[in-house]
Parts: sequence; C-alpha cells; structure tokens
Amino acid sequence: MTTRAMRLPATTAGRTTRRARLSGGDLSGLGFLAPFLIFYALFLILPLVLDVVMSLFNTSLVLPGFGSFAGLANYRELFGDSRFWQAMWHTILFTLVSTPPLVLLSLFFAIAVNRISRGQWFFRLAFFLPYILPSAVIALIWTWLYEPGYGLIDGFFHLLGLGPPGWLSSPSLALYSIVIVTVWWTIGFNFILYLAGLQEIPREVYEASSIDGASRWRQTWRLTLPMLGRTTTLVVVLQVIASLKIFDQIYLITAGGPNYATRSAIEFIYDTGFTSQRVGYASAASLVLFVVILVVSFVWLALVQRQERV
Amino acid sequence: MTIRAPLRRENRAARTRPAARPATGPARNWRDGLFRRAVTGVVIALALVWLIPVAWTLDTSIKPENATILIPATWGVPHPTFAAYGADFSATDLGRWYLNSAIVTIFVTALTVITASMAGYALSRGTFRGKRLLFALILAGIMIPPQALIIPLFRELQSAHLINTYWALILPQVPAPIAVFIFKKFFDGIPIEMEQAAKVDGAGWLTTYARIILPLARPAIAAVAIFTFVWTWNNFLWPFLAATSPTMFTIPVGIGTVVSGVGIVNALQMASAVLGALPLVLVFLLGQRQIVEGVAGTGLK
Amino acid sequence: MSAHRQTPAQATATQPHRLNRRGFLAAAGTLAVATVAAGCSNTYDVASGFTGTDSGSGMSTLVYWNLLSGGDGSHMQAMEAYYTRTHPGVNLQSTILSWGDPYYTKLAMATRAGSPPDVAIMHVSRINEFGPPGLLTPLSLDLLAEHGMQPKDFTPRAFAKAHFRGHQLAIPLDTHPLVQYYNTALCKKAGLLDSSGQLPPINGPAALLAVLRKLKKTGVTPVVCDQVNDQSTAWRLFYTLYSQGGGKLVAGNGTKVILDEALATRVLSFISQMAAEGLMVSNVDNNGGTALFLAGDAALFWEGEWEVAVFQAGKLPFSMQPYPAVFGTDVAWADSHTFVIPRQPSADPEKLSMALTMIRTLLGQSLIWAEGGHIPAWLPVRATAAYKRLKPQSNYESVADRAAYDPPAWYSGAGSDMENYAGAAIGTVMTGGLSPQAGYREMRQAFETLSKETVPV
Repeated sequence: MTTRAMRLPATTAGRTTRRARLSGGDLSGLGFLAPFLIFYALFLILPLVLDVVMSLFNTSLVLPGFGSFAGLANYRELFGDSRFWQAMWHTILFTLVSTPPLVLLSLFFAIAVNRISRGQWFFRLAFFLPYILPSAVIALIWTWLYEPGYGLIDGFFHLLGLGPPGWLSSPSLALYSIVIVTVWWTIGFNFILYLAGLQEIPREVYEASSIDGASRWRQTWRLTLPMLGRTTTLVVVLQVIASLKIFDQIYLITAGGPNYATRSAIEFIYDTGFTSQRVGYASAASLVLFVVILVVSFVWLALVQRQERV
Repeated sequence: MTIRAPLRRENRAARTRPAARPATGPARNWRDGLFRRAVTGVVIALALVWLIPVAWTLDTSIKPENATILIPATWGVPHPTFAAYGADFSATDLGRWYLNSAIVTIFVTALTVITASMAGYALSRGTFRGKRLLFALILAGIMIPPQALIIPLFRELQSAHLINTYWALILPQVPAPIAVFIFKKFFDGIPIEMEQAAKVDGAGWLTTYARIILPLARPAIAAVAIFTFVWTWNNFLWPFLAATSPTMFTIPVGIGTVVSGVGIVNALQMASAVLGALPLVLVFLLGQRQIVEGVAGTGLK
Repeated sequence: MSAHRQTPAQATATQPHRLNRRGFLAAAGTLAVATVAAGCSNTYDVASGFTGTDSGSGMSTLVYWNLLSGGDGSHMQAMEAYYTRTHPGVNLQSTILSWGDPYYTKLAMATRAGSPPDVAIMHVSRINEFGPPGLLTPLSLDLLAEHGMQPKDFTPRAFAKAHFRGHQLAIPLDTHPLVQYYNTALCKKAGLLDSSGQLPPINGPAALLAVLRKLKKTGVTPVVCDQVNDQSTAWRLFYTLYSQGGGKLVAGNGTKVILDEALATRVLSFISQMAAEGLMVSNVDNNGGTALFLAGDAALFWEGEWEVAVFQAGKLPFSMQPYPAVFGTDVAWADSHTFVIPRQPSADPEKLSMALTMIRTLLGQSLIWAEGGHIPAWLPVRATAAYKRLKPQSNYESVADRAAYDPPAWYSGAGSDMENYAGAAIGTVMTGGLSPQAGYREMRQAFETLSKETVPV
C-alpha cells in the first residue's frame, strides 16, 4: 500500500514553479487525485503486477507465499495445454459468432425504431430490459427455456412437428445456444448506442436528400450507415472485448460443458486457480488472455485515432 | 477522445432543436411505403419475440409446480398461485442478499463517483508535474480487464483477511478509469472563469469543487452513477469469489449458487429469477430514460 | 458551458424530464433508507459484514452446508426438522449449494478464508483432496464416543474410508451405489421374472446381453443410462465394471497411473457393444433418463439409488437390485455422504459439541434417509426390521459392504475433474462416438495429465 503513495511526491519533487491556472498550490491538485490513485494502485495495478510475478512461481491457493520458483515453466506448460487452447478457441469462436448478429441486428432495430414516431418506449423496454437483468437471472430463464421436454423451445419444436435438438446437451450445439442467450441479453446495449448515434444525425441531411428524390432505402444506405461509422466502430470493439471476457452465462448455464465444450478462457482460469488451486499457472493464463485483449484494444485505439483525424 | 462525429459540431449550431428522426413525410412511391411497413412489421414482431422469455418466466412462476412439467409446454395458468414467491423467501437468504446488494452497490457507486470526479477535476485543473504521465497511466487502465485479475485480487484480499467481508466486495470495484476520463472531459468543457473568480475570493480547492463544480457536474455524475449502479448490482464473478458464506452473497451470487428447493422446482426457480431481477427492473421502470442516457453516455465503459 | 461538449445526459437534463430523474433518485433513495432501516432494526447483522468477525455462527447458531439438491434433499430437510424440533435452543442455518465442483470449491475457499460452515456434508471420495491440506477437523474416537458414536456403529467399509492417515476426518451417513432399477411389468412381459416376481441376479456379460436382447424384442428400450451434460453416470458404469474385474487405476495418491489396458478396453468394448446393438439408450441427461424410466418406456435403468422416491411417487411398478455381476465379482461403484467439521479459525469446543450432537441426532433418523434410497451407514438403523421392510430400498443393502469407492487420488471424487474428463471419454463411447480403443486412449490421456499436475495440497 505504501509503494504507490511514496511514488507521488517523487514526481513532483523537482518541479519548477509555474504559473498555475488556479492559484492554490499544485499539491492540492494531487490531493484530489490521490484517493482514486490509491484505489487504482491497490486494485488494478498491484494485481496486474502480482499476476506477472505469480505466473513465474508455483503458487498455490492453499499455501502461503509464492511457492517455488518456476521461471517460464508455467508458460511452457500452458502452450502445450490443449485444454487451455480449447478454452481460448471457444472464446474466440464465441466472439466470431456472436458479434455479427449483435452488431447488425441492433443496427437494424435502431434504424427501424428510429423511424417510428410513437411508442418508442415499447421497443426500448423490449430490447433493453434484458440488459439490466443479472446474469444469474438470465441463466435461470434460459435453462428453463432450453429444458429438454418441458421447455418452451422444445414445445415450439414439437408444435412444428420437429424433433428438438439437444440445445445444451450437444457439444456441437451448446455454444451456439449460449450465443442465442447472449444476443437476447445484451443487444439492448448496442441498440441504445446506435439510437443515440442516429439521433445525432441532423434532419436537414435527410430533408435535403428527400428533396433530391432519394428513396428511403437509398437514404439509409448512402447517408445513415456511413454516418454511423464511428458508432459502429465503438459498438464492434466493445462487443469484441466483452466477448473475450465472457464467463457468467457459460458458467451458470452449462458450467463449461457438455464435456468442456463451452468452457471459456476466463472459466479455465477460474477452474485452474480456484478448483485446482494452481494460482501460478492460472496467473500465466490470465496474462495470455490479457495480452490478447490488449492487442484488440490497441487496434481499437488506432482505428479511433484514424477516424478522429478524418 | 469523443465518440461524436465532427459533423455534429457544425450542425449543433445550425439546428434549433435536437434531431429527432429522418423526415417522416409521405412515401416517395408505393414501394417505399411497402418497404417501410415491412420493416416496421418485422421490428414489432421481433420486439414481441424479445419479450417472450420474460413473459414465460412470469407465467411459470405463478403456476403450481406440477403444472410446469406438462409436455408440451403450455401457456396459461388455470389456478395461479404466488406460493413460489413466498417459498423462495423462506427457503433462502433472499432478504439478506437484497441487503448485501444494496450496501455493496451504494457504497461502490458513491466511492466511484467521489474518487473519479475528484480525480477528473484534478487532472483537468491541476498543474502538478507528471500530470500527463498519470493521466496516460490511468487511461491505460481502461484496457485492463478485471476478469484477468481475479486470481491476484483474491490473494491480496486473502492476505489482508478481508475475504467474505463487505470490504472485499466493495473496494476492488471502486477504481474505474473510464469514469475518471468521463469526468475529466466534462470538466475540461467548463470554462474556468467561475473558479478563478472564486479563487480570487480566497476559496480553496475543496470549496471551489464542492460549491461551484459539483452542481454543474450533475449530468456527468448521473451518467457515471447510473452505469456504475447497474453494473455493480449485476456483477457476478467477483462477488462470487469474494463472498464465501451465503449470508454475504449478493443477489446474483445467491441466485446462481444456492439451491432454493429440492424436487421439481421450476416455478420456484422462476420466482427467484423474478425476485432477483425486481430491484433493478423497478429502478429501470421509474428512471428508464435516465438509465438509457447514462448507459449511452458512458458507452466506452 | 460550451455547446459542443454536451453529452446526451446533459441534453436530457435541460429538457423537461425531471419526473424520470426524480423517479430514479426516489427509487435509489428508498433503497438507501430501506438498507439503513434494516441494518438498524437488527433484523440483519450488518456490522459483522464489515468487521468479518462473525460468519453467522453466534453461540446458538449452527451453520450447515450440504449439496443435496436432488430427491433425497427433502429427506434431509425432514431430518433437519426433527433436529430443530428436539433442540429448540439451536438455530440451524442450512444452505443447499449446487452439487459438484462448485460446492467443493466453495467449501474449500470458505475454509481457507476462515469462514467455513460449522458442519458440512462431504462425499467420502473427496477425502484425498480435503485431508492433506488439513481442511477438516480430526475427530478423536473419545470425542465421538462422548456423543454416542462408536466405530462399531457404522458400516465398516465406509467408516474406514473416512479415516485418513491416522485421523478420523468424517462420520459416514450412508453408502449410495450404482444399482439396477427394473420395471416389473415390462420384465414380466418379457418373461424375465422368477416365481416371486423378481428379476433374478444376472451373472456375466453373455447373460446381461441376453436379457437386454429379450427386452428389445418386446419393443421397449432395454436399458437407459444417461451421460449427457453430467458425466458422473458414465464414469460410475465404467468404474463398476472395471472394479468388478479387479482393476486398479492409480497409486501414490494419484501420481501414478496403473490403468489396466486390457481390462479397460474389454469394459469399454462391452459398453460399446450394448450401444451399437441399440440395447442401451444414453443420449439423455439425468432428468431425461429418469423421465424415460418413469414413463415406462425403458425396462431397466442404471443410476444411483436416489431416484427411488420419484418412481414411487409416480406409482411405477418397479423394483431395484444390486448392479449385475458382469465381470466376475458383484462390487459396484459407490460413494458415501459423510458429515465433516471443516477446520475452524479458532477452536470452539461448545460449537463442536453442538455439531456432533446434531450429527448423532440425524444419524438416529437414518430410516427417513433410507426412504430416499440410500443405505444407512448407521448400523443401529441398518440392522432393524423396519429398514429391512423398506422395499425396494433394502434390496441392495449388502452392496454397502463391497462398495468400490473412487480411486484414492487427490483429483478424484464426486464431481471431480477425474470423473468429468474420464466420464467424457466413456460417455462418447456410450453414444458410439468413439471406439473402445479411442475411448481408452482418451481416458488414459486424461489420467496421465491429471497425475502429472503439481499436487496443490
């Protein structure tokens, strides 16, 4: 706890006096920053550092201290661990499959709803209400919906005269069932972002093109979509990063099954660290995932910078 | 960095009121009208589909248990009963979980708003050396996913003997770099004259901040507070790890971990789903617009 | 305030929507007031949540965790009710957590964090995982005797299994093996019942196949054995047959794999053959398998004995018997529920005594427990005529003395990684997705990987 606090005076120690924008001393500025910095250092920076350190040791959840030094052994084992790569693959596959519908469908909803003059509250309710439900509630609702035999979805299939597939019990299908849950659950967020983006587009632009004789379809294609470019970038990147961190709905609905067919990277980290108690190994896995997310974030930053300059 | 298009700046000045939607004049031709009606129809249909899971949950929760295991599944309840709701309260620590969620969420929201707004203000107005560096460091923190830190965080709090206390649930959720960013951006947009006037009158940082800045910052505070509130209330992973005894669970953890009954418990489970969702749904229904705007405004988080 | 910096929230604020914001603030305010009120009214001990001193275990409170979420859960609740009635001075706080790894992870974490329950249920097969790191309070035989429990009062095999490296770490409640349920009406139609209306014991693979084929000819599903979503049953089936052949799996607390390839492959081939001939339906999950048997669509059902209440409630004509002796002996996979006292942060003899009294009381109610299907480990009940009269539960009573517990390894036990990984391979063989040889290789691979992992305890 003292590490961070001691660093602050050092950075201001050699400062030259400058004309302050507000007289009152620079230290009180720091005083305002300090509370946040303390939390930040303790609960974001320090854990990250510990992650790195523990990944080099055979730390156990049970025993105190760091355990025996392992060097890069954890990483070597990790790269040969098929279960880890399977978990990573499930995460990436999930991201690839869930992002298009979450982006495109929400865009379609937003454009369609934006045109409707009355009753927007209804659509906001329908699409956004799921978003504020906790994952545990989502899991209960959808496990029941997917229930073999008694569930509503199976009932619907019976109605159509089709034999329902094993939604959560088939290793090849389970992940897609979770994708469906996730689309239902989180589309509201993107929907809202797109609505906000749409409402930024001024009427005059449409009025001008209407006078020019452009059809509704043309307007959408040529005007609306390009102007939503920035919002789309935001939506896509947020979606991708959120998907890479997925844990809740998979753990609560299938517990990573059947046969670990749906286990995500975070769940692998949880299983390794808390169930198998191998904290050092789990830290190494955490860092690998972190690097992946970091790369995606950098790509986003680059994209946004480029768009800013336009 | 702003998420608004540069185009917006000019048009803000040009238009007299916020843009609502594209001109909804008469369709240009019959094909256009058909297209529009089809799109509207589709989105209405999908919205109704979107409501089905919640409707089905409510439907199941008021059925007697043996009415929930009909094949195929049927809507409608000849003899609806709220027995499952009562049973859920008595079978689990639901009341206690509500309390825990409330305590944790309120504390986290308050602490986040306070520390982040102060930090944002300091970064906006301060001139201490290293300000740029610290800001960059905080920005970089936006890219750290908390999920990747669960292992060392648990170790940290375990060493401090804080696991299974409210502290363990509250403290790690407080630092939110994105909130600092939002506040800083917001304060950057407030002209400095008022504060300089106050300084001339002899007001210190704290007074200036409390008397002048905070009242002006209400929109940003609302946005951050709302988003933090919703996100903290619904957070599962960290409270799942940090609370080891059922009396310390928050709502999501309690519902996701504790078995509320034995045997056929479908109505019971749906009742617990409804009860678990209820607080935020109520808050949502009362402040729908605020929440939506808050979420959209803090979109980056 | 420059116009071009307005956020949507600001735009809202300047518009007449104060009602909504007021609404939100009102809601949040109500929440806050309710919190304070609840805290002050002493309905809930909020302060302890901050100080961490109290894990809910005041002097007169007993915190009890279990994972009995199945049909037997209601029996446990009946037993708890008896205890509460006869001990009005104690507030028994009982919590049911989800079965399997989540339960054990939570139990271990709570114990390490210093806030464990006072008494908990634990499968005896998990003793190799909880024993070494000292997560359980050792129970001296004198202490047990003081509370009315002696080694001779328990099923010897179960009591011995609960003994670990010189300490008694658990008190067995029952033994629950894999059994064979059979639909008496369907078996009668196939001409399989003897003169007393029972299914005679089946010995040897040929005999079992013959029975299954005969049943298939009558048009029903011969046997259902689930493996979807939960690999436990698949594991239990394999392990039963493998143990019947005398096979061993691991040595050195799991660090050495001594899987017998020939025997394992023989077992898997047999399983595969049943699947291939359509004699065994296994692409259902636990509920599905139970439902299939309950509906009278399957003649035989291989599962743990705890589903008995479901079929009795459904008025199904059925009975139960020990699992057939297919590969030589008639042992069967089994596990035992036991009571454990997790290691407490500080020794509390009174609390310990309270816990032991509760355990002794519940053991005395073992007949209720037996109704749920389990074989009581408490001999004073197991030996009674009342238990013997419980049909069909007492049909398989002798299996308790030849139970094949999970291999002694730190990674084995109920809901463990071992059951999951090996069970996954076996389950795929059961559906025909893997050949017996491939299934064996996968299973071997799983064991090898587990055995090489650094022992965390």
